[in-house]
Formats: sequence, structure tokens, C-alpha cells
Amino acid sequence: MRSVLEKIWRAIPLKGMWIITVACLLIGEAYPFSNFPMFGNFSGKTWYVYLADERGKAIPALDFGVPTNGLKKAYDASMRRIKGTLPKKQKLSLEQERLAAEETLRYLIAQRQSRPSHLAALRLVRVDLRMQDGKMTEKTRTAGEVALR
Amino acid sequence: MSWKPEAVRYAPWEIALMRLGFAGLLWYRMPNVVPPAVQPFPNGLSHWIDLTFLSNLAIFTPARWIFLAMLALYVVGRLMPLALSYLLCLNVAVYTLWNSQGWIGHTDQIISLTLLTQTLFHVFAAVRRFQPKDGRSLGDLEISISLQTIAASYVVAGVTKLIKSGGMWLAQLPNITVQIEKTNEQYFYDFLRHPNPGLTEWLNGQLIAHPWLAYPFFGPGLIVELAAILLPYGRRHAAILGLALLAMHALISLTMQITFTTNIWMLIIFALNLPYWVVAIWNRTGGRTPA
Repeated sequence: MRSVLEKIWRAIPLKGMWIITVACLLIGEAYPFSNFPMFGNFSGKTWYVYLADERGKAIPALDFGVPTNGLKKAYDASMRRIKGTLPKKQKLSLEQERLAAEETLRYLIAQRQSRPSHLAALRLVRVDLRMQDGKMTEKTRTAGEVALR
Repeated sequence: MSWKPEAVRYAPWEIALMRLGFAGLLWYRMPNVVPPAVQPFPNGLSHWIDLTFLSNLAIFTPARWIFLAMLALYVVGRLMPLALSYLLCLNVAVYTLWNSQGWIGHTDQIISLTLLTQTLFHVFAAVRRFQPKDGRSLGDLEISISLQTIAASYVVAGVTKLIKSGGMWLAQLPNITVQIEKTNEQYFYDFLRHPNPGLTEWLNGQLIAHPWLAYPFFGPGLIVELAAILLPYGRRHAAILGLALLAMHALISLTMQITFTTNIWMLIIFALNLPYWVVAIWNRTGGRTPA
């Protein structure tokens, strides 16, 4: 049995490639390993977030050192953390989503070396996109807001 | 195509150029600002080790300079187990900390994984006093293992698409138009500047108006990712698949404003290996073959 396994093992070309492939798929997201899940499946809807001031005017996310896709992931991670404390299948309430958005905004502000003096508040705006009957629709709402003064 | 990989022998100058290119990429990706002082969503090693010590300037600054010195050792091929081990530790620690902020990026895994496999290979070779039996050098095998790692990262992305979509990835492709709209909007809100008008705008308009166009545009991407298993099979395989993967990245960059810079450079350095082909063509036209 052992000699058969040894023969099979020897016959496999490029073992390093297969070992890394299997390791990445089994371990998943644990740096430096990853299962590279981006764009793994597509539904007809998605969402993104952006930063805005107290009047809703957009602010470049990179002014805060984080790109908008990172902002979405951070907000999503906060929501998942809150969801982890809830009974299974219970969805987050809007209030809980707001808490997650505020946690994300506070993290951003804490990471910034100097506080932006021209802003009275920082807002996280959520945009939901949906493709329906060949047309793209979008819904925009404030996910959360944190006062800066 | 033979199922048995070609035992490629690289000229010493090719190996040196690849190491120089990889070292340049590692230095370019080493942040020049201190990493964050918190790890609110631990990832990988940060579950067990508090990596926030790297945010201390008194530690991070010398660590970066030692990194540069180790890169120099790596390029000249001296003290490889030591140099690579240090490079691996600092690179993985810094990016683990960055990936512990709640948003996991997928830019640097390909270079960290390549560092990991190169390090394991050279440590193994040093400990076991290993020498290849087929006449190849340790440098040849180092390049082979790097190509295998690059290939693996594409194969994993392809397999994950099949797993996550329940095998329906190609069928779901027309819905990519929603993602295209999202990533273009995200680009806008990163800079408050629209992506390049002209070709991008026209192409995205066509894709949103005619979602079936997604099949010919993006369908081949999955096939090329899975076909990446052939990348380490030989020089021609590497160059052809390298070009195909670069074309895929160019299309993604043009339509979705997502540029996988490190992947592109890894393909250029290890798979395309342009200096070899320039010399080969030059010598062939002059009646000589490259070393």
C-alpha cells in the first residue's frame, strides 16, 4: 500500500503547486494564505459605501487612507461581529447597522494623524445597486454618522 | 503539450534579473509609513501574536533598513536561508497586521506566498545539503517553485469561483455588470474623480446595455485562471499563459478599475521573462543560441 502511495506521489508533477493550491483552499483567509474569493459569484445586486460630510457631500475616501472597497469590508466586518452575538438567522436591525457604521467611522478617525478641521461630522453613506429587468436601480441612505466637533 | 514539465535551466543572469525584479517589487510593497497600532479584526498570525509592536517607529525603521540589506543578499544569492527567512518574517508580519484592520486586501498574498515557498526551499536545501540530480541548479528550482506558487494563486482563484458559485460562475456572468457599476463608483469615491472617460466609459456602457457581452469578455478569464496549472511547464507555457493572464488583468483594469499591480509584476518577472526572449531572438537572428 505504502509503495503504491509512494509511486503515485512520485508521479505527480509540480508538487509545490498542488500543495499551495490545497493549502490555500483549506486554510482560506489567513495571511499569507487566501482562497481569493473576490468576484466568486454574482447576483443581480450589490452595495458599496462612501464617505460624506455632515451635509452629505462626498469626501475622497483615500483622504482617510482607506479605499472605498476597504471601507465596505471594514463596515461588513463590524456588522458580522454584531451578527455573531445574535441568535442564528436573526438579521441586523437598522440600529445595529448604524452602530457598525459608527464603529467603522471611529476607527477611520482614530487612524488619521490629524483631525480634519473643516468637517463637523463624518458620514458613511450606503448605496444599494440592483439590476432588474435590464435596468440598474440604486438606493442611497446614510448608514451612520459620527460628530467630529 | 507534454504532461511532464520541462526541466528548464536558466542562465545565471536570468536568475539574477528575476531576483532583482522580485527584490524591487518587495521593496516597493514594503510600506514606508508605520503600520496601524491596532489589530481589531485579527487575521492569520495576529490571532496568536500581537503584531502592533511594528507600529513603533523605533522598531519599524531599522526593520525596514535590515529588510533592504537582506534584499541585497538575496539578489546576489548569499546567505539565502537567512536573507529569505528575514524577508518572509517582516513581509508577512506587516501585511498580517494590515489585513487585521477589518478589510482584507488581495494584493500581496502572491508575493508573500512566493517568499514562503522560496524560503522553505532554500532552508530545506541548506539543512539537507540538497543538490538537484537532473543537472539543474538551486537557482533553477527556485524559479520553478516561484512559478508554481504564482500558478497556484490563479488556480485557487478559479477553483474558488466554481465552489462559491456552485459551478454556475459562467451562467451568472451577465450579473457582473452590477459589479462593474460598483467598482467604477468606488473608484470615483476614492478620488472624487471619474475613471478614464472614452474607452472605459464606452465599454462599460455596452456591457451594462448588453449583459450577454460579459460571456466573451470575462468568460475566458476563468479558463485562463484554471489553465495556469500549465504555467510552470516550460518557458513557452510560461510566456503564453503569462501573456493571457496579463490580458485578463488589462481587461479587469480597464472595465472595473481594479489593477492587480503585484500579480502583473510577478507575471512579468517570472513568467514572461522578457530578457530571455529578447536575447533568444537576438541570438537566433545572429545564428547563436542563448546560454
